[in-house]
Amino acid sequence: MALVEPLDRLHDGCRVMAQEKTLRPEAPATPSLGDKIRYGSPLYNEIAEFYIDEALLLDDNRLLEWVATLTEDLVYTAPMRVTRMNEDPVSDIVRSVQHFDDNFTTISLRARRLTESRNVWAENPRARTRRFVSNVSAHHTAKQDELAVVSYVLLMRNKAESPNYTFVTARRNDVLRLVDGKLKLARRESIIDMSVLGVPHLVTFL
Amino acid sequence: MTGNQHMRNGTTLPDGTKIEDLVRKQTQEVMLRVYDDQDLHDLEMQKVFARSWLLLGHESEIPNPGDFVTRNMGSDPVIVARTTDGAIHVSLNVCTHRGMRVALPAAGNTRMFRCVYHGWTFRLDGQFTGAPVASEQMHGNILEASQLGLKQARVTLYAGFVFASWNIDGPSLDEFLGDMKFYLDTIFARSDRGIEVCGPPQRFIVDANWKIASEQFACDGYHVLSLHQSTRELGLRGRPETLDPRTLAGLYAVEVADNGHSLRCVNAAQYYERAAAPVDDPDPMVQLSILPPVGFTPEMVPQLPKHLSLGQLQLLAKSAPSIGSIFPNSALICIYRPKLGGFLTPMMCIHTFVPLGRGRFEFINWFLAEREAPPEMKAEMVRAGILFMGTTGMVESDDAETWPHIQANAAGAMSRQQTIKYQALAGENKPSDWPGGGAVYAGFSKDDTQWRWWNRWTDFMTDAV
Repeated sequence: MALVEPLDRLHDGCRVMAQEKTLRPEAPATPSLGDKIRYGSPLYNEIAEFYIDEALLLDDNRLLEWVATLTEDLVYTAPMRVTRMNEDPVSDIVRSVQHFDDNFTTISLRARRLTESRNVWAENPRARTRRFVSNVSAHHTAKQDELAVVSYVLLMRNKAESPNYTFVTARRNDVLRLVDGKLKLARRESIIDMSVLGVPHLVTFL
Repeated sequence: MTGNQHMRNGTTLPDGTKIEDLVRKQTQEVMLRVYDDQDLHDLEMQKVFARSWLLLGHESEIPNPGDFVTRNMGSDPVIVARTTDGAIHVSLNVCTHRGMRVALPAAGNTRMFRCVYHGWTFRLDGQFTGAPVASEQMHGNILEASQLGLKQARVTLYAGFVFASWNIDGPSLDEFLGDMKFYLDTIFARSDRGIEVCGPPQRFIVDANWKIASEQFACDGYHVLSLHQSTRELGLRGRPETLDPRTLAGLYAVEVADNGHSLRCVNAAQYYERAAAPVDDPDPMVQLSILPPVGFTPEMVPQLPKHLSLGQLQLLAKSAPSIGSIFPNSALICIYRPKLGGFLTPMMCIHTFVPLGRGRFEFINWFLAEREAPPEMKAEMVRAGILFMGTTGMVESDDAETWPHIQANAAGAMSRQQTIKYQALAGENKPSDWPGGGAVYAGFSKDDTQWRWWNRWTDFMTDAV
């Protein structure tokens, strides 16, 4: 990037480029669900295998290989939860401010920081993690190449010399897309089950 | 806890240690023990948290009558509620009957608070309205209904921020903020419609004493070079290959402090150079129209002179207050960051570090924007904030990982007697044309403002204020 930027670029920066379409105040459009993909069918097995492989990449900190399994139009978010009474009509899921609100560029940047920098003091020494992914239910969508998949994740995390684990559970609403015969992650919304996160940070991907 | 006893011999812990032994003014050292001492913590709840003004949130979180959020003032739960006349009340969230929490959720809207235990009810302003089975007068006949309301904190709004204090007859919020208000106005009180929160705050737990985070935000710029080195490696703080200190992290700056609060005012020349703009134009509005304040659009810039003095405009144009702390436990960040594939991204956050016992605090992180800013700009500010700050932030995750290690060390038999040091002092050196008040330190970010933070803490702990 040139050190001296033209003024119109600067004002763009201040006005913020509308074409980035960053505003996500409401729930993302739920893909219109088609037929359920039956448990144990060949396609279901392929989806399950995607998650098994993905968990291994993430737990082995092969994050740049993981990034290669993401589509470039990725939307990666993690809403917040605000405790409300049962009768309150307002949802306890909050998307105006979230824990993650990332695209392919920023997720790649986070992955580079976690893998390329020796100075990533949040994760050097890095936590030992284990992701347990279960309860996978999948549907076809109106788009022939896209599948809507719900899964549960239990992320166990042990840090340094601590004798204890910290853990996070979430429901993941994913869109997987078939690209050149392989499944890629196009959309992930991890709805974490905590309102006050019991961890000092959550730089680990869910 | 024998509060009155402590008030009488205010500066001495049960083992005979005086506050002055912990914060050593002669050598500018603080004993590490201050982070892990139950007696000290209990004293702090009374002497610091029950007597300071505490930032609890922003009025835009509860825009409608009946809206409320629950928060903490030190170790005490409170309800921040908007009444039907639009006023904001802060009530102790403790039923006057048997001590139950009268508001259970984090947020909601209600006509009244009804304790679930026996059903006593309270208005939004905390007034007691009745106990079930009125025919039996279940609140007795010793106290009047007017004496049974929820305990009320004193409330003052500043730029929409809700500040509350139990020190009912103490200094006003204006007096408490002192000379810092001049600087804070340039961030929070400079536009026609003011600022607002972009949503509820992020909340997470750090196993560390609240003071570790609070004193860091009292302008510890120095740690950025080491702890946040990874963001520089990634090219997110100027070009990685340059060692120009102005682009390093804004560490050659002007730090200002008063009453324990402090702010780092960052030289804007680095941005102007990148924008090929005049660095030294005598008219601040020329520069501000080229580089609007963080969170402003170019179209909003003409509003500035309506709200700010010439001195404040000069400050905003040349050395905008950017990062700092509001004593005792709040912090703010209002900065431009290099934009990915673009020029600059504005971001604005407020933090509070709420003590949960001596070794743990809740980190509360609000994202802010100018109310008038277009929605896309607000969204971009939130996204930038999420990327760098708070729960998943590439900057603050490094801080949150570091603080618990300090906390663990403060428990060691030898370690707790070691001191933390604030011996790199620049001394006050206010530039002759500096427009604001307070103690002013120009140059590299040193220990002065953090040392002032500890002195203010000492003043509270020894009843000197």
